[in-house]
Amino acid sequence: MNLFDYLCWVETEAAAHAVGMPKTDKVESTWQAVLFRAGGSRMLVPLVQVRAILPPPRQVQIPGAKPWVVGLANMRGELTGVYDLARLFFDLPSEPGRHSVVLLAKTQRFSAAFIVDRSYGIRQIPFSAERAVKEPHLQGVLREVRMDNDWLPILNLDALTDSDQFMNAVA
Amino acid sequence: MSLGVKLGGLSRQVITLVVVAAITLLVTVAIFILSAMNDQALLERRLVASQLERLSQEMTIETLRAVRGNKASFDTVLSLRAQFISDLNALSGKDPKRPAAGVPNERKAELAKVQKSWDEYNLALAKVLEGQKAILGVGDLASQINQLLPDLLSSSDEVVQTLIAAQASPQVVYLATRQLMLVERIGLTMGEITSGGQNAANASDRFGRDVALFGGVLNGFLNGNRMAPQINDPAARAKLRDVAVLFATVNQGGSDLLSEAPTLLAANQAAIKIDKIAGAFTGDVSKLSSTLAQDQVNAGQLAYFGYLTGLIVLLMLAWLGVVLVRDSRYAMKMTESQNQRNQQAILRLLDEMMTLADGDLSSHTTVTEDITGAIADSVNYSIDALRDLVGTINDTSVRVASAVQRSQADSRALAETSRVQAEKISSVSDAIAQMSDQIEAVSFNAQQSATIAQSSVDVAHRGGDAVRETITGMANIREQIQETAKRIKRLGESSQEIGDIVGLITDIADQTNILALNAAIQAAMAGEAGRGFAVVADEVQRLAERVGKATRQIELLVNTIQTDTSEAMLAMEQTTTNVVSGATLAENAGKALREIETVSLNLSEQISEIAKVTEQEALVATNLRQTVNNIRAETQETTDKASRAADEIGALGSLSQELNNSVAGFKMPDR
Repeated sequence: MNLFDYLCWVETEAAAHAVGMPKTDKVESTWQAVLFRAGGSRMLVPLVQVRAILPPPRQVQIPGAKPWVVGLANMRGELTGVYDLARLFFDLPSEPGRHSVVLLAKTQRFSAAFIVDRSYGIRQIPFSAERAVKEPHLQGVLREVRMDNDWLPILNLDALTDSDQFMNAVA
Repeated sequence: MSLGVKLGGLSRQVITLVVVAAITLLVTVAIFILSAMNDQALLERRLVASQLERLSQEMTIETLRAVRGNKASFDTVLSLRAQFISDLNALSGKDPKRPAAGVPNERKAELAKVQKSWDEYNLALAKVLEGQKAILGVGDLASQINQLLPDLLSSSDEVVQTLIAAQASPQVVYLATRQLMLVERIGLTMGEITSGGQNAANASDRFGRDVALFGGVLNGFLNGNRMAPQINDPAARAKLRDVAVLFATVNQGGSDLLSEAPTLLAANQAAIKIDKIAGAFTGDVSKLSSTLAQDQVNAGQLAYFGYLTGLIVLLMLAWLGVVLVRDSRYAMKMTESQNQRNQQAILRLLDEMMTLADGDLSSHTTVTEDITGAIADSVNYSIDALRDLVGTINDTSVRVASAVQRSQADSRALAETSRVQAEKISSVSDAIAQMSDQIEAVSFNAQQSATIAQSSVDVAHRGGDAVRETITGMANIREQIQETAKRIKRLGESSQEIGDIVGLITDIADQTNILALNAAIQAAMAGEAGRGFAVVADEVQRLAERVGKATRQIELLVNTIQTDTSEAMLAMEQTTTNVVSGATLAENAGKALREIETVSLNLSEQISEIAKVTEQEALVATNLRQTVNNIRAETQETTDKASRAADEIGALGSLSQELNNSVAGFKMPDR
């Protein structure tokens, strides 16, 4: 055993006995996302794109609009379009329940709110756990993340609201 | 017999006479009653008719007085008319109070004539009565005006004098003078109107015109018109005003008088008509009255028939007296000869009965048609009965003698039989004594059995009590189980309430979660400054999630509690059912024990009864032994008496012989 090897052994032993001492492991950088469920699928949305999570508001229906356009509502004093994510993505009607909430999007041009079945709260997402979607088939979903042995789609609200499909809301 | 027929014949004749006399008497009475009733009716008719005559005359007089303004006469006329109508109705037979006053059919023509006259008269009379108010009113008005007229005349005269003194124009003086004349004429014409004469119509016309002329001229003098110029002299005007004041009253009275004038005229004309027809009317009524009076005089022939029938009744009563005297004399003669014949018959019967007294039954007495015939017949019947009696006694004594001999032999045999019977009865008495001892032993055994049965009754009773206590215990258990079930049910309800509260907590946790999320978002937007707040928000979110998990666990626990309580309730219900069925079983056992108790009691009573009966039987057997001994003694006595009876029957045979000898004295006809 040379000296280097000895030093390495000493480090290993010390680390093994360092109970109650500050972690010396490398801290992985993460970002924050809101985990929610829509149309029976769990999805994530970056926290920075969400302005608030609120109970479903009272809204008025808009005649001649696509079925996923639920209506217009007064959200914190702003005229806001309310959309049904489940119907938009999966052509399924949302299940209104006592856990239903709306995600108020933080967009520059207009105010938009998306009805989801349930919000599970904030999750810390390691950058290493995500990857690009191989075959994007959902509008605004470009990446996905590994969580609980499953790949969950990450919804980019800016990309969604900029898309042609979203802008063409007239039936 | 011939006397009875004679008497019967006499009775029929007398009865016929009495009946005929009574009928004739009734006819007489009826004739007299009829005659009296007829006379009464005729008298009443005549009185009513004569009253009609008087009424018609008085009515005419009073009517003429009434028309002349006599107020009392109007009332009299009214009452007279009512009386006349009533009487006329009575004569027509329409008055139910006086049915007898109706005239007979042959006088209806006279009555119809009166009725016709009366109808005409009554019509005129009604008009007079209608004018009553006018007649009386006009009279009053006339007297009032008549009082004023002198004043009016003198005032008008003063006017004329004043005008002449004032040297008025001749035309004015003429007009004023004419006023005087008019006043006087008004007075005259008013008299004519009130008297109601032929010229009353003309008078009333003139009266109206005079009053109008006077009024017009007076008005002209005062105010000036086409009839007269106005007078300006102050003195004359003052006088004219006096005249105008008086004339106003006269004018008013005059116009009232004129308004009544037509009625008055009609009444006066009616009165004139009444005056004209009164003679004929009164004549008709008088004729009816005299006719009815003549009818009464002519009636009365009916009474003569009554006198005739009365005479017939008297003659028949005299005949009846003669017949009665003749019959009584004949009856006396018949009775005397009958008595003589009866005396002879009785003497003959006494002779024939003398032989019967000597005991000779071989001959009969002679039966004749006399009074003794029935007695002789009865005596013959007695003789026949005596013959039968004596014959029967002879035959019977012979039969008694032979029967006595047979009875004597039977009595001897009876005495021997009785002796043998006494010996047999002795052996029966011994057997009965033995039987009595055995019955006493049975009675003792039965008493023992009764005691045992009584003890079994007590045992069954105690068993029944134990079962009843068991049933009470089971009922208590059931009540306690029901109480416990209620408590468990309340527990289930409480756990339900806990579940509700947990749901509320879950909602709060969810909302807290969302709040924490929004706080985190706000912190993130604040950038570096919000990092600390983000940590707090993160902790709050974790807390909310833990609360959510804890509430889910509580919900599970509450569900488990509710399931367990439901199962516990089911188990309790099952237990209650088991307790109830156990109680039913115990009750059945109790019933069975009660039946055993009843049966044991009955058994005990029956055994006691048997013991009592056997005891009585033992007593009876002892009595029986005594009785048999008595029978044995009496049988011995019977044997002795049978021997004595045989001896006495022998004596009876000699008594029968004596009886035969006693009837040997009667002499019987040869057979």
